[in-house]
Amino acid sequence: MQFFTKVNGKEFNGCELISFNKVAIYSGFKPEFIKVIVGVNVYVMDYVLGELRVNGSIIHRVDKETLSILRPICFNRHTYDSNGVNELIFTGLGYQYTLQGRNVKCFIVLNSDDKTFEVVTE
Amino acid sequence: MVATATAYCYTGTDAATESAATTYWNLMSTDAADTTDSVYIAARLTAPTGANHTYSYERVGRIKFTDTYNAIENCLFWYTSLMTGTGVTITAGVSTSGVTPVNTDSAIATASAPISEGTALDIQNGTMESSPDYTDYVYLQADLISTVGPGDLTTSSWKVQYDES
Repeated sequence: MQFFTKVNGKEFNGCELISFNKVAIYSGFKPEFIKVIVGVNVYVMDYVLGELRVNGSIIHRVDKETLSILRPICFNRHTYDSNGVNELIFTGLGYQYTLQGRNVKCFIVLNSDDKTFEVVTE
Repeated sequence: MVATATAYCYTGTDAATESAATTYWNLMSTDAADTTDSVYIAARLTAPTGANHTYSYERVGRIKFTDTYNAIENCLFWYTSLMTGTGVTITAGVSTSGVTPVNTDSAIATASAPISEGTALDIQNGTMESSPDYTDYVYLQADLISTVGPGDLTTSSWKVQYDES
């Protein structure tokens, strides 16, 4: 898996700078894009254009008005249960915006095998 | 940066008394926390007669998030396994504030307790961006009718899901 991000015009190889476990990486800046390469699949979250692309095909897009309220998200989804067990379900990378008053997330999910991804909108 | 999630129960006026940390959210005949999973034996529910109902005291719980995080979002609550049996119904609901638990028909726990993520209770407490912070209050209640059988009910398991960033 290769992981890239571009911030203030400078592209970083995220494998050196960013770990999926360090979910605070987007606190202080807004990336221009995040690109994840898994095997032969290339996932790009483009925050400038408001697009999620998989192998060059646009899987999800927001309109121009929404771009201004688009915000990057990087989160860990956990569960905590009545046995006191806290479990990391997956890590999501993507963007969130507001559509007709409702928060919408579009993100790619890093599955627990640490290799495969899927695209989720919720 | 990892948030720590801890479960608590709340009892008394306005459900303002916080228990020691506990995941034992037992449904009992007294308004008490059961942090040792043993109080329920004496605080058992008695089967009603005729068309009457026996209600447990509302069990009030919520999750506290501590340590370091930017935001906790999308908090959901549901049962992954729910006690079943003739004459028993478990109801659930959410309150944004503490309301004194009652052992009459709950005005908060009015719906069947959710048993899937798709029907989970939304317990997100607004914007949760400072530590510590709590979810909304989960209210649970057991509703018994006369056909209920004797003995312990099956143990139920609940789950809370949240996104941390």
